[in-house]
Amino acid sequence: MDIALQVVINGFAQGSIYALVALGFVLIYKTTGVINLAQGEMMMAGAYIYYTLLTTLGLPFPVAFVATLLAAGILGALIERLIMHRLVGEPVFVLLMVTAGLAVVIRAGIGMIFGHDTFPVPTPLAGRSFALGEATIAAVKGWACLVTLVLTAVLFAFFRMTRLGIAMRAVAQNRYAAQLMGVSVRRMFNLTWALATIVAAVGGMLLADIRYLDTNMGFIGLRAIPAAVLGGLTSIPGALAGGLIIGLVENLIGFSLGGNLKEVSAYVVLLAVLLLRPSGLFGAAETKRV
Amino acid sequence: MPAIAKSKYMITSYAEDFALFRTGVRKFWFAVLMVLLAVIPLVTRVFGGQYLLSVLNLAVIGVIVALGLNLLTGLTGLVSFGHAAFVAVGSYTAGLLTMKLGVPFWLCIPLAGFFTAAFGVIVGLPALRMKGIYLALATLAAHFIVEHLIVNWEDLTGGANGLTVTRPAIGSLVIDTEVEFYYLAAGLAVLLTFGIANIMRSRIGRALLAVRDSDIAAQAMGVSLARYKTLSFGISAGYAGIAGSLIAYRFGYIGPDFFTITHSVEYIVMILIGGLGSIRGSILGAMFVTFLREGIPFLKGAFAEILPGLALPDLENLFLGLALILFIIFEPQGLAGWWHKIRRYWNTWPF
Repeated sequence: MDIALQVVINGFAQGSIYALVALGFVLIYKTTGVINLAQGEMMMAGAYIYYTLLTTLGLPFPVAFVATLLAAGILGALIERLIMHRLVGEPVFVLLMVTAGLAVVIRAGIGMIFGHDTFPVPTPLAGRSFALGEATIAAVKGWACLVTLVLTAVLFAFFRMTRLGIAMRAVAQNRYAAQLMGVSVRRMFNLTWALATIVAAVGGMLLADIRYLDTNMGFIGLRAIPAAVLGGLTSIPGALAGGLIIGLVENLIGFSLGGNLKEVSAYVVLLAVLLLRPSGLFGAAETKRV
Repeated sequence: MPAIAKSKYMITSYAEDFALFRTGVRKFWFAVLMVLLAVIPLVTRVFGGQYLLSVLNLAVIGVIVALGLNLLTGLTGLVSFGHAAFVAVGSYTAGLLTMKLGVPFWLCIPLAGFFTAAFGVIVGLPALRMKGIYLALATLAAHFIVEHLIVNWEDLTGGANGLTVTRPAIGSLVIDTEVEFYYLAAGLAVLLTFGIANIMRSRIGRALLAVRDSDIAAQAMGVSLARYKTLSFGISAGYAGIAGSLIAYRFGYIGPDFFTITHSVEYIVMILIGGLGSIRGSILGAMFVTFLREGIPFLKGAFAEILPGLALPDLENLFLGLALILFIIFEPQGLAGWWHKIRRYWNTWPF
């Protein structure tokens, strides 16, 4: 019984990381129509920035946390301004490949600077755990779930209630109409990338706590794609639901059928979703005028 | 007044317009190219030696994959992130046929091609329902599932340890040097290039182009989407399969490390840098990527002084990634676009 509970909790913890990455996918896909294949690498970049601030510069935890968010925002805005901005209107496939190239460059760049060793990240949460019923939960995993829930709620509220969020949704719905209404599409694109990178950095910091820091971390981006698609690619609560479901499915299958099948199970789910219900759980079905 | 004599450069019929070589000049230059390809091993013996030729062999294998992928992505407009998986299927087919059943290699190569083509058709079936980003993700999922099978179906594939493949041989001639392999691979590549060129100038090629530009319009014109999309997937996968069998014979060993998602991305990089939908682009792109990857170790010395802990794959990936991004931003037509620009410039040169 307690093992099953442990598996479920691990699933949720893993799933909340997927959800954070999926949130990044959704943010960028909604406004720009591109799946950002570098989302995992942006997350990794955030984690490495955080690590550098904590250890090399020796900043206290809260300062390092905030500074990482700022740095991530700037990084995202720079990527948009220097690369993606020049390619607005190109075919989706080309944009997709640019983000793939970006992923390769970020991973190589980090590898060149930090090498490929693994680092433990010294955070206040390291090594702590608490008991929930019969199961023991590492404190980081509890925090991961909590932060993901809060962040999803904040983003959801942001898009519903603030002027800026509504402007971003307007750009997502119809770029030209939004521009005619006085929304600066350029600024919204820029902000979207900044926001997505910040969300990625939050995920990166949590993930660096849960496991450790190394250059393979970015591949979690690819593993979160099933979560984003299952959630519907355009829906913020969908990203949360998709992430949690995929995390749960992976851990349950890994537990009951053996670890080998754990990683591939998410892709089987992805294929099934794409074939049976491409709009996912919460996404709007795409209709196209001829 | 006499009727205007027909110049040999004047095109007066569709048949002439679609001919493989429209003018005698092109035929001549093609012959020159063939002679050059044939004497390359002699040249490399004098200059670069075995190493240069071995890189060229890798490039030729890349050319075959790129030709197939460009048919699918450049010509038909269907994206595949799973081409490394197709290469893997061809590679393991050839390897298993050779090792378990003792089939001779000249039969294994086409069999690997056909088997992978059939596999490609199966993977391509979902393509009938999806396009754009969704198809890209589906092929990505297919790639990971194939990779998983290769690693975990140990009885068949040898798992992570891989599979040893004996060198191909005709009678007493064993193809185990770079020169012999070069003639095998380059000969196949020339044949397969003709294959693509002929597809492109036939009804099939025009149908694929129509599907790319607007599949609804193509369907309205009587092009069967199901038929041509799966056909495109099949041919493309078949090319990858043939390249895969060459990989098995070139290395004498195959393992999951040869067919990762990074390789899939690299094949796409080849056609993007080369030029989408262009045969010349596939060839130039595959050459560019392979030679860039293999040439970077020579640059390592310069970087090692700045970053002592530098790992070579990082440097290679950095350059490849940057090349991809820069090409997409500044030269979306790729190397084939450069070719056209240079040619146009010289066409009217003194003016």
